[in-house]
Amino acid sequence: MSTADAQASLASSTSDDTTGQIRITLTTQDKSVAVPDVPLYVPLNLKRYGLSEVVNHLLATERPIPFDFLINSELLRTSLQEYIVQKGLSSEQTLTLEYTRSILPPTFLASYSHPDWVSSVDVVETSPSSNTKPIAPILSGCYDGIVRAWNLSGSVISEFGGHTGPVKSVKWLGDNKIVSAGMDRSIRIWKVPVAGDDDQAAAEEIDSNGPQTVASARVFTGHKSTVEDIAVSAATSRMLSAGADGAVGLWTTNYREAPPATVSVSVREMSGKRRKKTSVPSRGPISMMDSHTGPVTGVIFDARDSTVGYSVSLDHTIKTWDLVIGALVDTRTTSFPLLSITALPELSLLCCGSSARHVTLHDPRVAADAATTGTLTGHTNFVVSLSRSPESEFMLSSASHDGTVRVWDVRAQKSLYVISRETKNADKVKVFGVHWSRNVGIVSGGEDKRVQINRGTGLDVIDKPAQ
Amino acid sequence: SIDPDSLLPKLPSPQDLRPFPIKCSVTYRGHKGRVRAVSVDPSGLWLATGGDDATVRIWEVLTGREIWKASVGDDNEAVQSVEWSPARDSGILAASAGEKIFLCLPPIFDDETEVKGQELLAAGWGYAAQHGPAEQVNKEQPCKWTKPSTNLTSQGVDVVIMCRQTVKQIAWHRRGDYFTSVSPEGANMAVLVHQVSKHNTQSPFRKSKGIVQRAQFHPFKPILYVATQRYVRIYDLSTQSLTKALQPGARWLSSFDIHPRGDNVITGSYDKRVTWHDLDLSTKPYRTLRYHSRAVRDVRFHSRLSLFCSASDDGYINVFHGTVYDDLLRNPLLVPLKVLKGHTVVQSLGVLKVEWHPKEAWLFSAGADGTAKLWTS
Ligand SMILES: [Mg+2]
Repeated sequence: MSTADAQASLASSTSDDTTGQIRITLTTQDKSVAVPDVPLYVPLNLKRYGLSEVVNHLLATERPIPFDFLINSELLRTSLQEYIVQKGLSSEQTLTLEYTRSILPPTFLASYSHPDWVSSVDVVETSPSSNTKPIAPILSGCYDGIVRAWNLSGSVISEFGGHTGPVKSVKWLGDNKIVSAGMDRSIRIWKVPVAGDDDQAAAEEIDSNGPQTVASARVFTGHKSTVEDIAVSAATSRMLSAGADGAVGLWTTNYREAPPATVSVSVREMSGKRRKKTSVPSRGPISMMDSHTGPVTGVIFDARDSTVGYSVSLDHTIKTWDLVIGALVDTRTTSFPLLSITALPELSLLCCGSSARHVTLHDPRVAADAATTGTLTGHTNFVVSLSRSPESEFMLSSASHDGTVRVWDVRAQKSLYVISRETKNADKVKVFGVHWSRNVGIVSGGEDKRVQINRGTGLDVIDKPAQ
Repeated sequence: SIDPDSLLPKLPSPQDLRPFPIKCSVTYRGHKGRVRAVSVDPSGLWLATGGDDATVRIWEVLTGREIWKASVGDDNEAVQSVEWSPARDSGILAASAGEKIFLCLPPIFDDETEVKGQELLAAGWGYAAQHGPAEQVNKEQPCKWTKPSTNLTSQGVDVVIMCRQTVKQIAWHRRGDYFTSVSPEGANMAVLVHQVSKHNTQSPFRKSKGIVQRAQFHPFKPILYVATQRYVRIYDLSTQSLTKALQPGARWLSSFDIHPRGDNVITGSYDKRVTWHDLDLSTKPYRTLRYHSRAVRDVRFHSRLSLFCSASDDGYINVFHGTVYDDLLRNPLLVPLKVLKGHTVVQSLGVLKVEWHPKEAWLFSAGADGTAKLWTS
């Protein structure tokens, strides 16, 4: 179909519309969905969905691709009419609309039930070309002290038991090891049992025998209070930990190379005689970096340079660490206690969730006294976990005690989608952890004792050109 | 003619006085019956509560998760008071139910802190035996320091202090070795001073001067403030003399608090009033605040920020800004900021106790509705 035809058919399909039209040019940076660079007239009352139809019409796609639209790098969240009124523009002007692939609303797929609150989730990412997909890619950390690995049918394949308090953070460390940490102040590295050659057979065996129990772990100690968050760099065999004691721990994941422990962690009978305790063999950190003046709540490695780490704290600051010498490089102070951090490396942005219900965006390259780059608002309670989109450099998800996970594009201040809990009293159920996985979707865990999986298709509707 | 309002000094607008608590972010659910006491540990991580169900509970502040619970009250006696020791290195929690005070080491801290706490609480055993004949101890000691039952020991209680009347309030000295307790029916032994390291209790007053409501140490001087129903009396502990008696003008005080710099006092009364006293000005209130429609149960200053609040049986917490100036001639600046609504009034009782977060402009509250709440900025 030619552009002229497309325009004619658009005009006819909207001929009964009386709100008027506006001239637009459509551009995109995604060559696989480019349309001819010709101005066209569209009705002023079109919003994102209508504009998306126009582009799909021009592309003559078999299956519609959802698109988002940007004007001057700002995501269009209203009708064109409302936009030009807001910006004080005239409908005589030509608007240049940049479009990008969007995602469809993340729909509920499944939820996996736990005996207690789910604090943290992680999913191991395997490249589409890889043949060895772990049979249980979803990890959950639970307030019952157990880490669980789940397959995609919702069965627990392995249970990792040893923590003597609630688990607060879980992460994959490569594809056959995991690391967990929690209120018992310890960090533990566990080997994931390897399935037989035949995954199907292994899965059937699990279903009949129940999950495999893993009780032995390499234990790391050094924090004097709850370990709230961990980050791993498998490539450099390093971990970072966020301590409620105000310290950021730097550790080697190689137990034998780890320094001796100086802080002991004991196993105690929580119910029986309180003082009956035995000390667990453990190793210590490479360094404990204690410049924060309040509990540390989040840690990440720099995505491009794993000798750099970032931490956030209730003390309102984001700190940058040189992990080679274990030294503080930069401190920037925000207005509120910070509870979570993730990065959008392509945009050079650190995103921080706060107790004041928002996500703030910071560019670590600009001067420390420079103002926040942006603020994402919409949550109505603490923002406690963040996870970037595996597909878009602009997108991230956030988990909040308001009972929702929100999906954001940093080019818009308001969220694109709000994911609620598929449980009763969903608005009163805190969400504690979120991980956005390419293979599985948006995985979240919370006070409803469930891991919930939502998936919004869109970015991967048509195969992307090989990179 | 001149508009009389134009002659009044302009108060700053609340927006310019941020941050202050505006919203309930966490509700701590679990108690059965009224929550009467709240205290947050010096790190701001662990909230302790106590209530009519005779339990002391500890909660993870940010998530609202109950982490530890001890049933201390005999015959379901209400827990009237819980107070964390200000000594960060030992993790001691004091609680009172009935005529007993319980010194606990909740199993939530690191080994080093726990050992330190155990040593501190154990050091005083035998002190009384060494320092006086046993029969004299029984006669003269207003309290008996005892080892708890196995049941209590297994719950984390290390010491039980047996008093003679119901203990309604506990307040620590800033160093964490001494604390006061108040038993309103205790007559001349209504106010007691307990020393943790020596397992020793003293009764500082010979005569009763009214029904005592609360007692509290000056933030940094050897001065004790004692509130009866009508007066807040200020005693210099070094000279053992009464230095001042504040007259809030209320018939029945419920509570008072001392400004972190020591020279200003707020009171709350069952006759709905909150008063601010500038000790340099007068024994009468500098300002009387009538914002509540029911009895005021508690008043508190923030220890770092220019904030104070009052909690009432009307179910509301009123938050105020209060600046105290170095200039002696300049009067304190008081600005109402926010009414926090969220607790439900149950059987005419509303918000029973409040406590500020040690650093943030965050506030904890205990309600007759069976919940504690965290209000954040
Ligand atoms: Mg977190």
